[in-house]
Amino acid sequence: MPSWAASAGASLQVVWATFLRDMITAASYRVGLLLSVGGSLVTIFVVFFLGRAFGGVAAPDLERYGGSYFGFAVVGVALSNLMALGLTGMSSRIREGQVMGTLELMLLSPNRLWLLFVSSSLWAHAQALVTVVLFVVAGVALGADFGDANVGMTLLSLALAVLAFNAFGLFSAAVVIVIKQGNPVALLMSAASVLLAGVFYPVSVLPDWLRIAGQLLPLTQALEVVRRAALGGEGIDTLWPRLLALVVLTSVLMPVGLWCSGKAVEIARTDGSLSQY
Amino acid sequence: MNAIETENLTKRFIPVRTFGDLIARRWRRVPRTAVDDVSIRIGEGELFGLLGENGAGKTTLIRMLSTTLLPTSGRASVLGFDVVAEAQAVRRRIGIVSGDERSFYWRLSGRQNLEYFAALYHLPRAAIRPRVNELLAALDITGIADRRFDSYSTGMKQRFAIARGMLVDPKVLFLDEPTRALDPIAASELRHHLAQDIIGRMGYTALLATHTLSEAEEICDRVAIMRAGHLVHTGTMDELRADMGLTTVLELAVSRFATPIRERLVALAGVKDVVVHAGENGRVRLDIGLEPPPRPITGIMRTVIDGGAEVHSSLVREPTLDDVYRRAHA
Repeated sequence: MPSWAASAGASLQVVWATFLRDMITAASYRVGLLLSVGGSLVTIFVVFFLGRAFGGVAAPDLERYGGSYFGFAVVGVALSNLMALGLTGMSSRIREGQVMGTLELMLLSPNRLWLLFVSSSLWAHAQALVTVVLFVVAGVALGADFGDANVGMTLLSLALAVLAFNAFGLFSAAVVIVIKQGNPVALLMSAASVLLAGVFYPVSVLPDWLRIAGQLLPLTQALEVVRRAALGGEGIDTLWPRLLALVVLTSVLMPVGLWCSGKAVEIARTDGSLSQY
Repeated sequence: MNAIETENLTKRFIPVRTFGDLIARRWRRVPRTAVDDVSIRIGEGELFGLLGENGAGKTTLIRMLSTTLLPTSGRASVLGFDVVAEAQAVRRRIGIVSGDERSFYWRLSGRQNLEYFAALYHLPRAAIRPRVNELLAALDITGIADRRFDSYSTGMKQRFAIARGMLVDPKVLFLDEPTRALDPIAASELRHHLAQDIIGRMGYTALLATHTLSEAEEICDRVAIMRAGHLVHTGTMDELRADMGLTTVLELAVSRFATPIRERLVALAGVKDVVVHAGENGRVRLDIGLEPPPRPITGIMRTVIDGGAEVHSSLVREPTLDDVYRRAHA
């Protein structure tokens, strides 16, 4: 077997073993697992009633997203959940590893850092995906209209969005490795994204300077492209500039995030804090 | 080739600046030296003990050798691979066992934990189950392997930690106080297991950090004594005894003792010194230091008896690691 194939096989084995590990662990907390899925579904009722309260008001800013506030907000909340997971999925596993004393053993294994980080957050991603699907199904049941959705475009933009969120997640992981408790990167990004990316309202209602600042956030680009594909049915011909923006953001953030996380491990190996919490 | 080699290995930690430092404007941080200029050579197949009190630098040294901590200066290699420049090559060839009960996934069973770590350490898929079964059997924990990890006793957890350290059949095993949390019986069983079955039979090179003297004395080929980051002494037990001038002592409980007996004893060949301890009921205890190599004690006994004393009991006491350790720390 060529060495690249052996290496790929070993990496897949690591990914699968880590996924199984996290799945078994999550399943052992049965009530917690059910509550985390059930709890996030409560949000859909919040936006449903918001939509009912303000649905009758004409909102020209929502026209390009199909015109319904409920559908607009369903996509907004689903994507902001995915972003929160991308930001904290890796860092929370690292934090867990610090507390449980497994991080040092993981880093002692002959694996690349990114593989360990990605595989550690895979179960959380799978769980989030299930939640998003349930979210959308519940949304449809409550009247959200995805009838015109460009499914291929929606899935492509979702995949790019997840990559971009995880690029920020690498920064977040690096910070946790060095400062342990607290996660200012995730906190700042979440707050800025809720305010500037247009989770609950279209960004067109923001003042110009805030709107321009918001364009630098992956969630802004992701929301725009997913909403227009899922609610407005638009395709690559009109959405390519937004997709390109997501690709550029990811291509810049990902290597920088990887460098930062490598540097963070080096700092922890120097000051002896890898196993500290 | 030496399995482990260090040359002037040093680790200094920069203390974390506290709020108090900031308020008092103490900008300068004085580094704390945890390991200072340590040079050791450990041969292949050797079970080497690293002895020292808490904070002596044992764990820091092991962490540098196992690549989880970067040295400040000096160099170290494991099986010829530099621990900094060739860290990945080192990691593929070592196993680590610590006395820390953490570091396992407590909601998984012992077997699931081992299978996970085997995959993480790139054991071929087909080899994982047989290897895990083999280790479970070797450590006598097959019967409990499918129970959840949080249901195990400390001794059981420690056996799983040893099994994990051996998953990839490492050439070098680092054991950082593996019996720290165990009761004396469990610790003794584990020591026996380590020395006889694991290291003896499988031929690993092992570096055992411990502050339990009897542990090192019982199973180590050579020991090094660490104190405040320095390596104070290194050698076999005999070498350490000789280096520190520790001798075998013949203890005699005698009655009707007279001072000239002591003078005659000191003049005998092979006797280094004689210390007289007063006892009860007119008896005294003579501690007669014997020069190496050991000789028959007939001459000593004859001198005591011919001097008019009566011998009630005798005991030959070899200097223990405890004596070595106390002398090293004196």
